Amino acid sequence: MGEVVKDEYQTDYVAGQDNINPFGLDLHNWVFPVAAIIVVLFVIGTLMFPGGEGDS
Amino acid sequence: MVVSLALIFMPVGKIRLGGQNATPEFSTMSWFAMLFAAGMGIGLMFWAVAEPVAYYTGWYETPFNVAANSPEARDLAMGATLYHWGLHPWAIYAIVALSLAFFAFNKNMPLTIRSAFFPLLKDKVWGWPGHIIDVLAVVATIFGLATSLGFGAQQAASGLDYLFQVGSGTNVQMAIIVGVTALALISVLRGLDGGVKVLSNINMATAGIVLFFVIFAGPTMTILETIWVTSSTYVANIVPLSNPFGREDEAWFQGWTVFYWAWWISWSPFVGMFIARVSKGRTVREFVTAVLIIPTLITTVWMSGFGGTALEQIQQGVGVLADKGLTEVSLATFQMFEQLPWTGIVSFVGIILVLVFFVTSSDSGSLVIDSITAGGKTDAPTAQRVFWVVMEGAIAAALIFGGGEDALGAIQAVAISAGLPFTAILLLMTWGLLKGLTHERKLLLQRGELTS
Repeated sequence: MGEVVKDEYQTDYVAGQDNINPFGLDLHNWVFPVAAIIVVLFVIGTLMFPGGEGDS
Repeated sequence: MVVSLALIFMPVGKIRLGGQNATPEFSTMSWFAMLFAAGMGIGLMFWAVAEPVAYYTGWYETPFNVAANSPEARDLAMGATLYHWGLHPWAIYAIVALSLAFFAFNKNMPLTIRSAFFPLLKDKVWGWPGHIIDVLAVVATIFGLATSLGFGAQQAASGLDYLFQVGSGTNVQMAIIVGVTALALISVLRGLDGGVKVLSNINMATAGIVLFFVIFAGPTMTILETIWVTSSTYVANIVPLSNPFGREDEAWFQGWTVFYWAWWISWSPFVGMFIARVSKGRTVREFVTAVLIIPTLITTVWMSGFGGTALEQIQQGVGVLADKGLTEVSLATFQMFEQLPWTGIVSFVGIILVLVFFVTSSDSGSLVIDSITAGGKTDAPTAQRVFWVVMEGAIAAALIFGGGEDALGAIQAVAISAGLPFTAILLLMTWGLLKGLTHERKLLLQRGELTS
């Protein structure tokens, strides 16, 4: 009899289990806020402190 | 690339993404169109002429230091261009996409980048290591997209100015970014079926019409001959071009090949995620064949049509490209069009094609980012995708306002620098994928869901 193969790639984790739902949205509780803050700060910072010629 | 090609022939090729009873979500033609638009669309419009001309004329070195403007340079110009746009980049996308699709659709893991690292990290991947992986992927994707949008806006503005003398300053570039972002928003609100799928189909049809026009209105026999030259030179030189040691053309190798590999790798989380998202229901064999072979074949014909026509014009001493060589990358395609009939119409259609490719990139990019930031869910509220589309446009606009080409170049350099460490991650993903697929095949055979 051949050896029984067990599924080694099983996890109890379910997509969205760490999500939060402010205002009816569906956001990962760490990834969304961290990424959003980085992006928003970058846009604000670049607009407040332009580095050089904006025209090309 | 070797692993990707091997997957087409390996027994694991029979495994179906989403389970053996899964069915594809999109028709084959729509699927091809979406793969292509996500992976390469914009670059082909600009580089299909600029790159062969650059290599042939020695604008920045020549492949293998061959003499510029020689018959050897002409053949290598085409072969080396296909080398950068052919099997190699699509193999990178195929591995990333297949890893993500397999673990998400067959192992019910979230459709996020972190899932591909489950073989390495096991359940720790749902904690801090995974948060860092996903945040890095989101930041890399959105800045990569915004940079491309910013450069593209500059290039499109140059093209519009060249054709219609509308000016190409910041105002025109901003207007293009606002327009592309607005269209991407409409596409997002229409959903995957009504949005990016429709636009990708329009793009493929329009690109097909432009390509046929170039082939039949241009030097048809030369182009047909160039298809053979491009393919044969590519095959003959794929190994020497891939050799990183003892290169006498070190400057060309670093300036072009290394740049391209880093650029494709930096795009692979985005393109890989999007390809994964639209590929459920395909077998591994169908998937790798479609992602690897079909785009390479289309790129061969496209590069031969556009680049072959440009090189013929230079050799015949006809047009601006023959007179002045490559002056500005963004204008090279339009300068080639100038020597064909109906210049104004085909150039205008070319600009529309570029802009619609931008819209599909922005739309599909927001789909990818939204999936990652929603913890791998693919049915999150549309408002979240709207946020990411607006942010892509905002970053591009801020970069143009804040620093123009220098700022865009700086961000691009950061994105490309991330390509080196991500290469190590790619190798780990490849290992994890092979392990996962081999194990899955054993499970399916055991359950009788697959025959050997």
